[in-house]
Amino acid sequence: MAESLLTADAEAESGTRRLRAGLWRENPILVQALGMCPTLAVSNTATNALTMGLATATVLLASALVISSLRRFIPQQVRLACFVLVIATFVTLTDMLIEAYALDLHRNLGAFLPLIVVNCMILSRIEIMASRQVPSVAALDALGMGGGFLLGLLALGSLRELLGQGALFGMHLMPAGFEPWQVMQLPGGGFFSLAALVLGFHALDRRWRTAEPAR
Amino acid sequence: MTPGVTPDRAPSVLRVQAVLVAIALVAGLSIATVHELTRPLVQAQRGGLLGNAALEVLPGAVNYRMYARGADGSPELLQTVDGAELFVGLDARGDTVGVAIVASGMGYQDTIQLVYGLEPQQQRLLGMRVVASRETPGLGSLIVEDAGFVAGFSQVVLQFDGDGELQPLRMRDQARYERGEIDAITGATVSVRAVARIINRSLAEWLPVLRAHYDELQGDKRG
Repeated sequence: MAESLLTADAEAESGTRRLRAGLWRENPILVQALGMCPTLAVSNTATNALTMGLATATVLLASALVISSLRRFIPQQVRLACFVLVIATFVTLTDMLIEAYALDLHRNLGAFLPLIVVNCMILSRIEIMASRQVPSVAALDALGMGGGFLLGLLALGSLRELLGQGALFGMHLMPAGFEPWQVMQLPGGGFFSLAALVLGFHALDRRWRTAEPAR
Repeated sequence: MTPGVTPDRAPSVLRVQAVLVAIALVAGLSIATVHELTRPLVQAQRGGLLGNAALEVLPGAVNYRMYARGADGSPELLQTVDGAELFVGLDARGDTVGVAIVASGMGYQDTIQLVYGLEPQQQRLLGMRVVASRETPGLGSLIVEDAGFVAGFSQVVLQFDGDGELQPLRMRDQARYERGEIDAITGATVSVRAVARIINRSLAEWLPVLRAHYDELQGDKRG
C-alpha cells in the first residue's frame, strides 16, 4: 500500500516536472531545436504560428494519450509502425477539421499541416515518454512539450510579423512612420529571428540559474 | 519503473499482425467518419470560393450562371455551385462580360485548382486566381501571393497560329511581353509551369466547346 502511494506520488511529481521541463528547460524549439522545418516556414505571422502550434500540440497530446493507453498491447517489433499510424491518423483528422472550419488558415499552412506526421518532436516524445509511462504522465509531458512548441513558435511568429509587417495578429501596432523589415517575412528572417530568440532565451535562462542558489 | 511497450518476449506473428490491423482499422474508420462529416462543409466553402474567384477574374461581373459539361460535352446549366466547371459572368444589366473556367492539375506536390477568366471574344485572358493549392510556403505559394504575377494574367493575349490553332502559354523570358506569355517567378518555377500547363490543357478542352456553344451560353440570359 505504502509502496503504491509512493509510486503514485513519484509519478505525479514526474508528470508536473515533465510539464515544466517542456515549457522551459527542454523547450523543443529553443533548446532541443526540434521541428525546425515548420518552425522556420510558417512562423511568418502570429496567426499561422498559433494555428501550427495548436495543431502540433493537439496531435501530440492525442497521440500520447492513445499510445500510452495501448502501450501494453503494442508489440516491441512493430511499435514504430503503430506510433506512426496513430500520429498520422490524428494529423489527418486535424487537417480535415481545420480545412472544414478555417479554410483560409488551411491554405496559409499549406503542405506543413500533413508534414506534422514527420515532426521529430512528436515521434521522440512518443518513443521516450508515452510508450513507457502511464497516460497521466504521458499527457502532462505532451502538454509541456506541445505548449513549449506553441510558445516558441508564437514568439517567433509575433516577432516576425511585428517587424516584417508592423502588425500583430493582423492589427497594426507600429507607428505610422515605421518601415516594415521585408527580410523578416522571408526565409532568412526566420533564421535571424530564431537566432535572436535562442540568444535571448539562454541569456535569461543563465541569469535565472545563477540567481537560483542565492534564493 | 513503469513497464513500457510489450517487452522482448517475441510475440507470435499473428498477434503482431492483429495489433497492426486493429489499429489500422480504427484509424481508417475514424478518418472515414470525419471525412464524411466535414465534406459538405469543405465543399460548400470551396463552392463559395470558386464563385468568388469567378467574380474576381471577370471584371464588371456582379452575378454568374454555372455550367458543367454534360455527357455529350456540351455545357449544361446548373442550379448549385456543386460540380460547376464554367461560370458565365453577367454585369448589372445581365450582359455577358466573359467566362470563368475552373481547371485543376498537378502542382509541385499536390493538385492546384484555379479559376481563369476569358473575354467574350476568347482572345484574351481576364485574370486568374488559385483556389486550392499546397505549394511550398514561401516558394511555390508565390503563385497565390505574388500580386504582380496574379495581376499579369489580366493582360495575357492568346496566340493562335495561321489555322486558328491555340498556341500554349509560355513563361516570359524577356522584358517585353509577347503574345501568349505569362510572368515567371524566381523560386516558384515548377508551380508557375504547372499553372501554365493547367490553363493550356483547360483552354484546349474548353475553346472548341465555347466556340460551338457560345450563343447558347449567352442566350440563356435572354430566355
